[in-house]
Amino acid sequence: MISRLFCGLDRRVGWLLEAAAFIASLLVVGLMLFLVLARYVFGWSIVGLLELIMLFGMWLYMLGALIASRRNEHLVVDFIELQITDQRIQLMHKALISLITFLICLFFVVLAWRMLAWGMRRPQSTPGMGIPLWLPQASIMVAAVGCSCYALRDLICAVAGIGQLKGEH
Amino acid sequence: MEGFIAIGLLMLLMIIGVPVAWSFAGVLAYMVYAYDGNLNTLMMQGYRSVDSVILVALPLFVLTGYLMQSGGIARRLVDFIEVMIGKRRGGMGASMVVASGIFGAIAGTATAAVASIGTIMIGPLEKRGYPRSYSSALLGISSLLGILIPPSITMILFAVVTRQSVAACFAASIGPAILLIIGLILANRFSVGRFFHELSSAAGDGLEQLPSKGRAAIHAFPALSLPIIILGGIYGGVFTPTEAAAVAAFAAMLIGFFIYRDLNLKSFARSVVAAAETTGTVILILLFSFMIGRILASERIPQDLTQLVGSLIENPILILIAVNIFLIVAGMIMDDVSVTVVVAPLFLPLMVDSGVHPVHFASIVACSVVIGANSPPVAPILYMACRIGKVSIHKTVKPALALMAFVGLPVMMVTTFVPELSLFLPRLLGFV
Repeated sequence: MISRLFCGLDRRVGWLLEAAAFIASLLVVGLMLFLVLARYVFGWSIVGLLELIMLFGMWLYMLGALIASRRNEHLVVDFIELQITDQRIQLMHKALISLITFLICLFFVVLAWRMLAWGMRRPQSTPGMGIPLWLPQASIMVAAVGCSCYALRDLICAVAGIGQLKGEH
Repeated sequence: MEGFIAIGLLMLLMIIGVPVAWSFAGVLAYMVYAYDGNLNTLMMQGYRSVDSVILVALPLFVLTGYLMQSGGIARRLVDFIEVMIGKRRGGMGASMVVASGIFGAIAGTATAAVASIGTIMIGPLEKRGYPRSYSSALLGISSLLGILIPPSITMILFAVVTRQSVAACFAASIGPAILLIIGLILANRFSVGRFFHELSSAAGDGLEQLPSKGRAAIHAFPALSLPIIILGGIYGGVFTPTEAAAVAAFAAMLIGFFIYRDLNLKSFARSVVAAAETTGTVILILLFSFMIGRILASERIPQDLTQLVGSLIENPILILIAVNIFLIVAGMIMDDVSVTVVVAPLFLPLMVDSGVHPVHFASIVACSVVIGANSPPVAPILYMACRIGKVSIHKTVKPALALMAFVGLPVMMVTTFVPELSLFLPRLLGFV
């Protein structure tokens, strides 16, 4: 029951992340093209458009990182992983990696939080459009928290897998 | 001492299988502890480094690569090149090399080239008598032309972390890329007939079904126009590299949807999300490496390293050889992004001190990445080529190492010791 609930939640969150990344990508491409067209075709110089592009770009980067965490597709040197053939050792290896990743992600959360908190105490905005800096910075916080959740998910899955394997034996 | 522990920790975390981005974050945590880093401002510095307009070129070029794959552009390019040179001796292998080069001139990544060119060409190559192990090895090294031929994501990263001109770094790696293409074509021609026999084109490899030269050229024209738009735009002063990347992604979209009609909404959405994911993994590495770089710079570690190496080795040629060996070894145990963002800023002061121009160093790093990405134990591109070629890594290692020893390494040596190869074009274009 709980597992089904989490599966459904994961699917919805996954869909949301992909939709947001898709929109952010299109906005970055579209705005950048508009910038080129505005300069060469219409002869306009739009102040601050690059700031808007960077805002969507930052969200695109961080959503991409989060999607990679969800799908477990971050760059990995899988040399040792490929050498392990025993299923139990594979699960133990996965649990260890997930634990290390989770701890490191918590450090990432602390860093992101300190940046946001610092930014809130001394609010800053972009010079052209006056976009508050916490808007793009919030994407880093979202990525940090999201990646920690996915690392914890992997840890729980690996530990549960070891338990299940023990039960079968 | 802490610097050596940090490098050791990074390698340990990566080798045991911690994702590369989190390995960097782990090292950052250690460095914050060891050097008493300021947690309040550290992430802000990382954010400011990533918040760069030049870096926006990265997701856009990655997206172009994915769109080329799903929009049928890669297929038309391969068809065109096969028709042009595929029927000569060693022509199919040479086609793979040239196709990878042209693909690299549009997309700038090796992984997209491996997936696109490999999927299309490994089957026909086998029908022509090329062993899968050899084809996969050739695919692995030739796909890395994407790193040398502009627009190259590795060069964008190098330019960002070392604060050099992107266009100058792009221009610097063209000479080594041409040398690598010539070397690979010659090595392939030498291999055909000695290590395996190439069957004639009438043996059902699909070449007889290919269109005529004129027809293939017409089909491939939109695809071939992309590198002209990108490179012509950048060097003609029309676009910045980031704008060129946006134009390339948009053009690839138009070609895929309306000219070749291989792209549909579903595959388009999949390509966009895949590109975002690839970018996210790279940017996270970059974010943490920038923060590590800040701590290293504030502790003057690159300068200390320069002094240390300078006191041990006085001869600049020996320093260059030592750095080359370090780069190759680093490439064997790290991925291309890590080598570029960590090793490049660390060694840049030493190289400048030895009389190497930073733009020349960019092409040396790119050449080392070509060798490292194909050298076990890590060899990410070679592993990927093996997966695409459906062949075991053990069988592929021998031909891959042979290509590396007889082509990759000599190209790296020539690039290192003949600076004009890298600096001629940037000088001609007025960047250096």
